[in-house]
Amino acid sequence: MPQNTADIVGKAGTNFTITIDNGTILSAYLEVPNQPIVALAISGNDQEVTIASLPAGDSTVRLDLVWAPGDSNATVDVGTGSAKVSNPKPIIDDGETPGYVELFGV
Amino acid sequence: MTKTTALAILCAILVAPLMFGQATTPKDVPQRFCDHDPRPEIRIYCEDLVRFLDDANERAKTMSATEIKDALQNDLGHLDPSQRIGVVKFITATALSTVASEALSNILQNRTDRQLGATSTASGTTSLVSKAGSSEAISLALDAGVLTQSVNGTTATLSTNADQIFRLVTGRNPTCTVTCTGSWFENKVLDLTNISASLSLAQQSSTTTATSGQASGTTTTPVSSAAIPTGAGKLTGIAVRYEVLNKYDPRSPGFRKKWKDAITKSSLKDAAKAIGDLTDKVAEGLQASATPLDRDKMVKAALEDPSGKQLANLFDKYFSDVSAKVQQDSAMDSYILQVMRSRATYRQEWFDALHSAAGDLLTFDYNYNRPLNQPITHDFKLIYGRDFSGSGTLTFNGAFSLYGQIPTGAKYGRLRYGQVSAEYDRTTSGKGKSVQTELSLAGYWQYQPNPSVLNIPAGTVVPGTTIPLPNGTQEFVGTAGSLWVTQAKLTIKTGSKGSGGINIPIGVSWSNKTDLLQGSKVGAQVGISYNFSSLAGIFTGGGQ
Repeated sequence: MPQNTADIVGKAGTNFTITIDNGTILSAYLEVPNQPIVALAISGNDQEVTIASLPAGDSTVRLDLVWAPGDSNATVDVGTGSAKVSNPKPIIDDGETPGYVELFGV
Repeated sequence: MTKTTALAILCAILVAPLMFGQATTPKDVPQRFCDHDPRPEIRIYCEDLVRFLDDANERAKTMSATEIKDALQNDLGHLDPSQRIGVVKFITATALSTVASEALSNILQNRTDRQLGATSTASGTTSLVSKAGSSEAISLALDAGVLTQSVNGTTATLSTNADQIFRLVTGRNPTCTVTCTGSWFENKVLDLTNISASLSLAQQSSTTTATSGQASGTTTTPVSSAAIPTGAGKLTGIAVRYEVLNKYDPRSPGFRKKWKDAITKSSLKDAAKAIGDLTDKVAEGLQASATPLDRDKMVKAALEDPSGKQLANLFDKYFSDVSAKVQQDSAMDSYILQVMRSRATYRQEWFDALHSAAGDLLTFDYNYNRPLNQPITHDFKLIYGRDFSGSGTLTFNGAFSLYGQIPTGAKYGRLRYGQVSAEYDRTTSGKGKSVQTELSLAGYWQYQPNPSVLNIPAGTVVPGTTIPLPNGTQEFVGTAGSLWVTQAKLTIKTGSKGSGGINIPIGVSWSNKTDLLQGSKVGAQVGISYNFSSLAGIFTGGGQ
C-alpha cells in the first residue's frame, strides 16, 4: 500500500489518536505485516484509540464496532498528535464492522 | 370482518410501500442511480459508487483525472477488495451470490420472549401464553397437543417479518445486518410487523356439496347434500402482530446511556471480535489473490458518464472477476461462510442489546381464527413482556375473541370469550452454551358468557335417525363460565453459540375443562420450531 493511498500518514514512531464521530469501538487492534497484532487502548467515550508509536511503512488499525439505532456513517480523524489524515477524511459506513483505517509511517 | 377482508389487509401491508413508494420515501433523499440496479453487488456497493461518482465530478471542476484519483483514494479503497477497507462489503456481496449465503440462516435462539408457534386456542399448540417478541426473519414451528381446545391436533405455523419479505421482494439490501435504513413505512410499520399462518395438519376437514341422485340402496329419504373430505392441511388462522418497543430517541442521553449499558452486558464485543478476526483472514487472502482495482479506469468512467451507468458496468465486471476467482478457492469460500455466520450471531446480539436498552416489549396481536367445525372468530390480544435480565421474563396477555358472523336468531352474542394469562420463563441451564434449557410456568383464565358453538354442517344425519339436516345448524357444546389452565414446560434450545436455532418445547398441562367438553383434563404438548435469520439466505440457495 503506497503512502498516497493511506488514510493517515505520519512520522514513524509518532504518538497520536484516531477518532470516529459515530459508532462505538468495542475493541481495536494495530496490524503490522508479519508482526503480532497489538490491542489498542480505547478512550474518548469509546470513539478514540491511541497509536503509541506509528510503525514505519504500512500498517492497519482494525476497529471492532457496534452501531446504535440512528447512527450515521463515521468520519475518521486524528484527535491528538501530528499525524495527517487524508482529504477527504476516511469514512466508515454505518452498520459495518470491522472498520479499517490504513496507516503509513514515513 | 370476513376472511377476504383479513387477507386484503395483509396484502395491503406488504404492497403499500411498493404502490406508494414515492410517497413513503423521504423527499430529501433523491433516488440514486444504483438503488434499484438488478445486480445485487451494485446495490450493495451503491453508497460507495455514488460517493465516488459525486466526489469525482465535483473535483473535475478544478482537478485533472490523476489529481482526482490521488484525492479519492479512500473512496476508491472502499471499492477495492485488495485493500482492507474494501473487504467488508466484498464479503457481503460475494456471500449473496454464492453458496456462502447459507450462513445467513444461522441464528441464536437464547431469547425467552419470542412467539414462534401457534397460540393457545389452536388445536395443536405448546404455548399457553403468547410471547411479545417475534421472529426477526422467518420461523417454522410444528406443535402437537392442546391446551384450551378439546380436539387434539398438530399445527404447523409459519411466521415471518414483513420487512424481511419487503426487502427480499424489492431486493433492497436483503443482507443488512443492523441499522438497516429504509423508508418511514419500513422503519415504523413493516419492521415491527410479523405475520404468521397456522395450518392444522392432523385433522381432516370436509366440505358440503350437493348430491346428484341416489346411486344405490332403497331409502326413500332423498339426500340432497353430502360432506366430502377435503384433506388435512387446512388453514386455521392468520395472525398479524405489531411490536411496540418503549419509545426512545436514539439521540437522547438517556437512551445512549442505556444502550452503552446494554452493550457492556451483552456478548457483542466477542461477536464483533469474531467477525474482525475472520474478516482479517479473508482480507489476507484477497490481498494475495485479488487484482487491484484499476483506479484510472474508474475515474475515467465516472467523468465520462456522470449518470453512473458506465461506472456501475465497469465495477460490476471487476467485481465479477474477483468474485469468480475467490469462489474457486475453497479456503476463501469457507472463511466468507464463517464471516456470514458470525455476522448472524452479531445481529442477534445486537437485537438483544436493543431490546434490553429500549425496555419492555408491548405487542398487539390480531388473529383471524378458523377452528375446525366452529365459527370463525377474530381474536385481539395485548401482550406485555418484562425482562428481569438474568432472573427471567414475565409475560402477560389480555385478550378477547369476537365471532365473525352471528346467524339470524342466534342465542349468543358477538363476544366469544375474554382471557387473561401470565407466564414466567427462565433459562435454567446452559447459559451461553450451544444447548440450553428453559423452564416456563404459565396460568390462564378464560371466561365465556355462553357455551362454545359447534357447527353442524349441512347433510349431517340426525343421530338415531336417517334424517339429514338440509341447511346445517349450530349447537351449544360445553359450558359457559371460567376455563382455567396451568402449564409447566421445558424447552430445549440449540444455537446459542453454534449454528442452528431449534426449539423443542415439552409441556404438561391441567385444565378444569376444555372448550367443548366438561371435566378436568391433563394434557401433554410437544413441538419443534426453527428460526431462520434471513429470508434472503433461504431464497439465494442457502437456507438451512
